[in-house]
Amino acid sequence: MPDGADDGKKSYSMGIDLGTTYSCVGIFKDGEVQIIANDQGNRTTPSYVAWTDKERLLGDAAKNQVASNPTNTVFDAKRLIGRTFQDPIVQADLKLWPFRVVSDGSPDDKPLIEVMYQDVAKKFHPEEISSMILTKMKLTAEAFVGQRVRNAVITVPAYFNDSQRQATKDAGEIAGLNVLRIVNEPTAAAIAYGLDTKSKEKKTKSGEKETNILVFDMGGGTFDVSILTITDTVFEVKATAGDPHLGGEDFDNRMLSYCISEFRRKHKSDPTRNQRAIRRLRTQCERAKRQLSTQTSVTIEVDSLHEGQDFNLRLSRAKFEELCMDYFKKAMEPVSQCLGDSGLPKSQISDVVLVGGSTRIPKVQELISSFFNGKQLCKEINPDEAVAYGAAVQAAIVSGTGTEEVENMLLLDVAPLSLGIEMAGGMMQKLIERNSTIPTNKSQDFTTAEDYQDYVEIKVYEGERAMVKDNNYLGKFVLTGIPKTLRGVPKIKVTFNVDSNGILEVTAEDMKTHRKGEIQITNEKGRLSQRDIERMLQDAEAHKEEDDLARGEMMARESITVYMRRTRKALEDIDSEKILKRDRERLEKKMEEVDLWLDEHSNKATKEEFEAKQRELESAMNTIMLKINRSESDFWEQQAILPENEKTIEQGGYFLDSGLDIRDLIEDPD
Amino acid sequence: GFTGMRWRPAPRTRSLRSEGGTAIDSPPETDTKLYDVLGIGKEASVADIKKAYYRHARDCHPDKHPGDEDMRDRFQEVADAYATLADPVRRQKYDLQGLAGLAFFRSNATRLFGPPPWRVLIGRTDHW
Repeated sequence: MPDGADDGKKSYSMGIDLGTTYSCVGIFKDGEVQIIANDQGNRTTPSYVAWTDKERLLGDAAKNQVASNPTNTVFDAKRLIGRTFQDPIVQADLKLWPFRVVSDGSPDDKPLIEVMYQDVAKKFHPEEISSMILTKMKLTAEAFVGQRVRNAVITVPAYFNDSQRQATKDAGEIAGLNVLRIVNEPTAAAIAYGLDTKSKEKKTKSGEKETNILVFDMGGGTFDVSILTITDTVFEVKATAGDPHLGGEDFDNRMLSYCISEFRRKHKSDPTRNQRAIRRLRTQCERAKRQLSTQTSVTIEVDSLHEGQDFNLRLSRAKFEELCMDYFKKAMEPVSQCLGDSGLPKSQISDVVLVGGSTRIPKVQELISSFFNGKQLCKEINPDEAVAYGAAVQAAIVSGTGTEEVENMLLLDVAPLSLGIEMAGGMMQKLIERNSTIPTNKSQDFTTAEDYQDYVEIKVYEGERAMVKDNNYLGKFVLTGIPKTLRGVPKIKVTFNVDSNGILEVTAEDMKTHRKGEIQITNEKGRLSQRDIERMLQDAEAHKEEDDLARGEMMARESITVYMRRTRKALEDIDSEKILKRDRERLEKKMEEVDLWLDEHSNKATKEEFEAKQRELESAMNTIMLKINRSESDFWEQQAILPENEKTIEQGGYFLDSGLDIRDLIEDPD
Repeated sequence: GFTGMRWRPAPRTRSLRSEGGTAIDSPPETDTKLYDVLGIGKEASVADIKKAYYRHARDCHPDKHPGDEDMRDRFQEVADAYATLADPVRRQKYDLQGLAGLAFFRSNATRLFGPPPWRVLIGRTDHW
């Protein structure tokens, strides 16, 4: 088949790994997956959003200023998304977050994140925060391919429930994305693994064979286990299990509590209420945790942590393991459950694939390995990028933009939780069993129990426990407008449909009148209404304008700083005999003036003010250049060869949204 | 090869509740619907079943036919047939007793929504 790339512009689809602490984006281009570095040159981007007095910051920029602006720097949206404010997990997390979270006060009890922006308190749904991170990832992809990218596959933990999946999809819509598919993270990682081993096996010419693998995916905030059977082109998920609230951040928190208690013991003062101190300490704990994966002990040091007291603590790997051991052990339960569900004995698992940053912890590896009787673990795929890699492949499959090999692949995923309704005595009656292949739909006929009954109410739950009160309530639905007749006569067909995203849809139809319109699905708990989504989409658009403005300022600021640096360098390089003393002094004076002005105004000035200052500088410089004359063109050519770190501005992708190309500023000063 | 899933006269399993109606007594040897869906015979090995499933799933997977409801239903049939035949316990029940034998594994929904008063079963909501 010929490649259709030539007829018009090829549209791309991206795969986004929307993580608790970090996100990553990949795109299928020229027959292979590219993991894309952001404007800072990093292949993963912190899932952080911050508001300063002036602007909204995303990704690295937001995370870098967290210690100085803790209450307006938001992270962990993935731990809030699709949950209610009263959710015990949200209540526990609340105590650890420096930013404020409140309830929206509605019966749905949705959580809202509150920040101060330009002296006004603003409230955001977790979906909106996630949408901002998705926007950042989208910009990164767009800068790479040089055109708009709207189609996206977004990954979620396999063990995310219906509300969390729906909320993640909503976040994509708020970001203005066309969400092609919500894909399970371990499944995406398995694709990366499958393609990797396949490309290796081609060399050894091994034929079509079947392998069973277990994907152990432990990231910053969530934990999944999936077992898959992989043949040549088919990826079949056999079973999945996990804990949607277990990951690296929990280990950080344990270390943090330990450090605080040590500080209290030594200095007899309590830093708990000092947000800045806590934030600084947390950052050091996270760093120490990473180091303990490669070295056996570290020193955690924070100068003047609280009330002028320094913090200094030597922490061994053994102590770290002791602090987190219950978490590590807890992670092994889903492994055995998943094995049990898959019906496979341990010996049939030919590879255990590690994904997610937390699988770098030696103790975690040791526990898995010993669970599989000392098995060698597969660490060949990049644990931070594998999910985005697989998501990009899936995006190519779904949108039909991949190679023939990729489009031949077939993914058979499963629903992670059983779905059912409440029956007598609060029992759970399952209609769809967990680990059913999706998409799937199951129908059931309903009827009335009383004469002349014209409506019924059904409550829908997900989970494995026998009693509905132990499972997760998804919503109730009310069937109205049933023709009044004797009990048992009406026939109402109710269909549970789980789509390829793992999202449940409930439809119902009165089989006698074939009326669907009378049947309403109400009170879908925790879910945003279509109106909410549209409003947020508009908010995001408005915000985008603000951002563009702020970005325009940032660019102008960056541009003048770069210009200053280059001018200074040029002054050093140019033969001093060629410059009149008077011109040189004038330029130097001007530069000094601008330096002072920048110190004072760089946070307040508008784009126009920056540009005016730059023009003043340019005119002083041009006077000199004109006099040096003949070598002028050579000079600018030399300047066009920028040092590597200045090129990031060129590639930052700003020009895509503001319509301004920064390269114009750099290559041609006029 | 032949895996020995041969039909034997069904033992009278009194423990099996017959919510599924009268189908339990229909001649089981005529019921090969699930095998037919996958285009295989009753003697198919586990590997054969899986191979057939993958082949059919690829043909009718909704990913390859977005918006096509017939294909969606066909995929559902294929996936359901595989879910039963790939599970040795369910397969044996099916081989011995036909579709009715599977009622045991299904939700006993008839009882749920049938004559015992509906309101008692579903209408009670705030009982805890």
